[in-house]
Amino acid sequence: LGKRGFIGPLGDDLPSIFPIVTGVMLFITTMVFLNSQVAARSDLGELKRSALELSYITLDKGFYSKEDFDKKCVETLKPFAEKSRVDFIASLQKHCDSLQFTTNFKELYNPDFPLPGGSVCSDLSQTELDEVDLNESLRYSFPVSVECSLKRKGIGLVNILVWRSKG
Amino acid sequence: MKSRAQAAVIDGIMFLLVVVTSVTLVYSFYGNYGQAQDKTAYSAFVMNFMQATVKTLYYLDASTLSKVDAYSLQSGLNGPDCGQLQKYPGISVMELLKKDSTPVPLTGVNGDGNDIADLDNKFGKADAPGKLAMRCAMKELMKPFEFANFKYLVEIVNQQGSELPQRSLNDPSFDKISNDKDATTCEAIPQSSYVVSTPFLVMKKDVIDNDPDGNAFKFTMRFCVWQK
Repeated sequence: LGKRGFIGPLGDDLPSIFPIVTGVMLFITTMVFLNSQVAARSDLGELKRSALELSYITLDKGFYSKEDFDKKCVETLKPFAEKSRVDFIASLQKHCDSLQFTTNFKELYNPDFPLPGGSVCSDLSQTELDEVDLNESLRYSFPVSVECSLKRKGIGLVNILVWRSKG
Repeated sequence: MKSRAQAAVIDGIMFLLVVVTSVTLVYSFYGNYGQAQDKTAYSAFVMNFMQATVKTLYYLDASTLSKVDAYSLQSGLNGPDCGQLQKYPGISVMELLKKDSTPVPLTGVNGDGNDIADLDNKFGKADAPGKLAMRCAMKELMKPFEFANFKYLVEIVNQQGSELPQRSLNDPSFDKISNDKDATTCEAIPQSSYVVSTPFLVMKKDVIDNDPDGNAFKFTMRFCVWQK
């Protein structure tokens, strides 16, 4: 009679196991989920930093000729992207009279697209770029001046798209 | 035995409460995580854009801005339109603005109180629509920010930071180089604004050859941007 209701040393603690297991599961799930979220945010922050640094070194001049831009691409932008483990497209567009922003970023690396005198620079080849989903890239556009007709310097645009390198 | 089982359940519930509390704390940390970094990245982008804009102005040919529709959109005031700039090929916006800013007559040196940056679209008696060119350029180059409800102001100040008297302020047909009618100076705008300053030396036309630094009006161009 003295042991009425006693179902063993473990059995008596059985009701407390449910909240404990629930708590442990909740804690582990939360930590795993947030760990991945924090890593994603940190990665995005790093990508933004790289994109802004790339923009900054691209815009050290207020005027670009096609030749200057191509030289900058080979000598500075590509080595920087490789070091920062990012891929990028930088394009120089000539507008001359007014700024025009594009929403079709696939056009930016189409060799036929840049308005005459413009230029496109990327660390990837045309074939590799075709496989990239540009919706995952960070995009920045900045004004510059470019050579226009009659040797006048008009409005141009530098577009920079940056994304995390898969390689 | 019954009370022992109850104690165990309470222990379990207490443990669950502790877990829920710590999970809430971790989530609140996550909510703020990266916000400061985002803010810094955004500021860096805005500053980078502003600096690119100012650098562009040093090269941008004023005549290429002749198709910009600035006045009607900026202030609703009637005034000369950007089409006038067609007559100024081969001169950059900044050069034209410097001509426009040249104090005439050339009295006073380096902020001694007599320097007056006219900004009346004239250089002496000749036309030099520097202010107009600047307005048209800013209207075009700041388009993306204007669409995002940003306001901007460009002003020429002396080295002490105070705004120079500008004759055009009293002229109803001219207003500031700004897309905000209420803007007065960069100092009067919200603290969360972005400001880019650049030395703005205006040469005295009769003493350019000798000691240009000492014989120039040492002004500063201030370009500020804020969200309203």
